[in-house]
Amino acid sequence: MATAIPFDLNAAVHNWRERLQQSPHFRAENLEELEAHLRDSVTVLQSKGLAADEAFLLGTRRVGAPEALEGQFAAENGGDGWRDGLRRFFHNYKSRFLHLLILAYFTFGCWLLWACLKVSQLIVPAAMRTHNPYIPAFTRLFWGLMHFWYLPPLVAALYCGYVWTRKASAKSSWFAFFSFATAFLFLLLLPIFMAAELPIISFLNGLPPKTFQAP
Amino acid sequence: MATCNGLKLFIDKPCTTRYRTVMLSKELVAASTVPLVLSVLTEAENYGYALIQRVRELSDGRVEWTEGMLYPVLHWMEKEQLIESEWREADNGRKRKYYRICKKGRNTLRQEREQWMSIHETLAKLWQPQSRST
Repeated sequence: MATAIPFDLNAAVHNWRERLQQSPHFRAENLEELEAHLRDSVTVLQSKGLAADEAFLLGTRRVGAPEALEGQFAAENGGDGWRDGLRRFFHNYKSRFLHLLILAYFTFGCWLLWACLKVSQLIVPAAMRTHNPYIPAFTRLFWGLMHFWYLPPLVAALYCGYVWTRKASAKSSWFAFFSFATAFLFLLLLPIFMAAELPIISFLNGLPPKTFQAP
Repeated sequence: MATCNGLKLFIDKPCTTRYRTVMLSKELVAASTVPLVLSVLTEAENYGYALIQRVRELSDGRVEWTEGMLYPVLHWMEKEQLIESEWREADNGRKRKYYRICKKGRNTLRQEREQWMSIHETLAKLWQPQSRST
């Protein structure tokens, strides 16, 4: 026998508010006030003997259809001005814009790391780069990887492309993207600094013992 | 189907009930919103839901607002300094925005009242049985 799923009024109100929140025409205070109204309405309807789901359904109907409310609040909150247009644009494309920003940040971070390695490579004369005892294998490995350094930004760009074109709801994925990009850069930061500094350390270690001794 | 004064009513309700619960036109409801809100707020400060309930009660359910639509009007009235508002916690712990009438609101209400009364008086004179017969 199938059991009925109990109606969660708070979740229903939360979903209703979320739906209104999709529109850029409602300010936080407007939503707060509408939610307070709906809850008052539901409480009164429940006190008259209606079940929670019935009271919620009737309450939302009385508050008004989201599209109609949106029209009214758009007019109130300056629906025709350029600021509203800008706000609506930012609301609709916020996630995409943030993804683009994070992609730029990640690409710049990768370029900085690549530049660190490149500088270390430039310091060492070309003739000394291979089979030189002062160039540790660790550094040579990273220099070798420099040819593939475009791959992480490319993967990130592909992910962004997927978000912009296909993903239905990319509301919060920008935060995960940002966290992943930052973690990736920080994890590579230390080994790359080490790889860039090791030739210098090795070179200094290879100098004659009396080089830096006080006279 | 019921009939009332020769009119065919497509509802299954007694004629008198239908007459009593006739709804006002949207235009009239919209025009009367500001004076209604100001009048209710002269009784006491109030929040949106209670305002609507009070108007519904006073009009015997004939003034029916789409409830959410009242808030943009209240906000406009607040911008016009007819009323002012304050968020406060109710006895049940729920936060509500209370509205109260301002001085400018009282002046506006006085003017509105004069205008509505003059319309009412004019129509009352026109619709008096004596005037119709003469």
